[in-house]
Amino acid sequence: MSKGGRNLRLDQGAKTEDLPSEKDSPTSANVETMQEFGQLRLPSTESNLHVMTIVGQIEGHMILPPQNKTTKYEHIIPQLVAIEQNPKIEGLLVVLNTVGGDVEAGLAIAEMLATMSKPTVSLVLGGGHSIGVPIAVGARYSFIAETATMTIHPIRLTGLVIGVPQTFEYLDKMQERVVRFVVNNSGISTECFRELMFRTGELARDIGTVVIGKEAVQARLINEVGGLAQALAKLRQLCRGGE
Amino acid sequence: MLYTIVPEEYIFAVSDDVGHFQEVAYLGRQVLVQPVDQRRCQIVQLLSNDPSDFLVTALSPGNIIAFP
Repeated sequence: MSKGGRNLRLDQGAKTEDLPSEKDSPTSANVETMQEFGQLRLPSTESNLHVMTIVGQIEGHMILPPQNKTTKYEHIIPQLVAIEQNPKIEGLLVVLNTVGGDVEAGLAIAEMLATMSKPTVSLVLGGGHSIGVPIAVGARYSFIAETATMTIHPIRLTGLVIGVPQTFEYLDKMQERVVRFVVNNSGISTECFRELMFRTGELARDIGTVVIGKEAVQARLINEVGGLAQALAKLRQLCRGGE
Repeated sequence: MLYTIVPEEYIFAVSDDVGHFQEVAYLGRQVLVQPVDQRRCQIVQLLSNDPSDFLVTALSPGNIIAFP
């Protein structure tokens, strides 16, 4: 199976390089759909709002083992650039259900979101944990579903740890990047965020806090509790130039 | 450096029950597919941020397509 798979991959790579223009043309797409499924393609109703889902682990420098569901940095960043440049796209909705992931990749996505000129709204569904927190607050306006959770906890150091004070300083610096970004891009104060991050007695395996739905709004981390309708309404309002 | 709530031992667990996915262009969109045999593959995920693409039945996960 694995040998066959590898051969297929090579064949396929050669073919797609030959035929990019044909694949993109709507006529060939229609013919292909008719041949394959005996149905016509849906009339294209182009949306002026784009949706980006960030799910599972956020994958950066390190390719995670395949049992992890990941959102890849190299998929997201070019899409954000394309969305910023495409005149047909007026706004972006970011739907988050992430357990965290690579610090550099997460902060990169958050910085890209925060510096986009087009309106962005984030919606935390299920969970927006760890490095998902800066991504959620990176959007211009953020929503959290009533049942959604966000875990705020300190960064861990794994692998070879040298027992010198510099190790702690390094870790503290990495953590400071996250804290500073979140504080600058949301209503929460440094003291409040650090208090949530270092609180003991709340998490079973770690120190930190889980905030659920309106608790995130009370901490001024997220702007509002809401769902799809509220998030899209807000995005449309921002697109029209409202605040 | 990972900042996640998932314990390291779960992220890096060794598992052999994992499919071989690959990204291909189909109907002008990027899709993640799993090979079924030499000629056909099954759509696992549609990689697009245009919400209307997700309404196109030909692109929905589970469809078996010829290798583009």
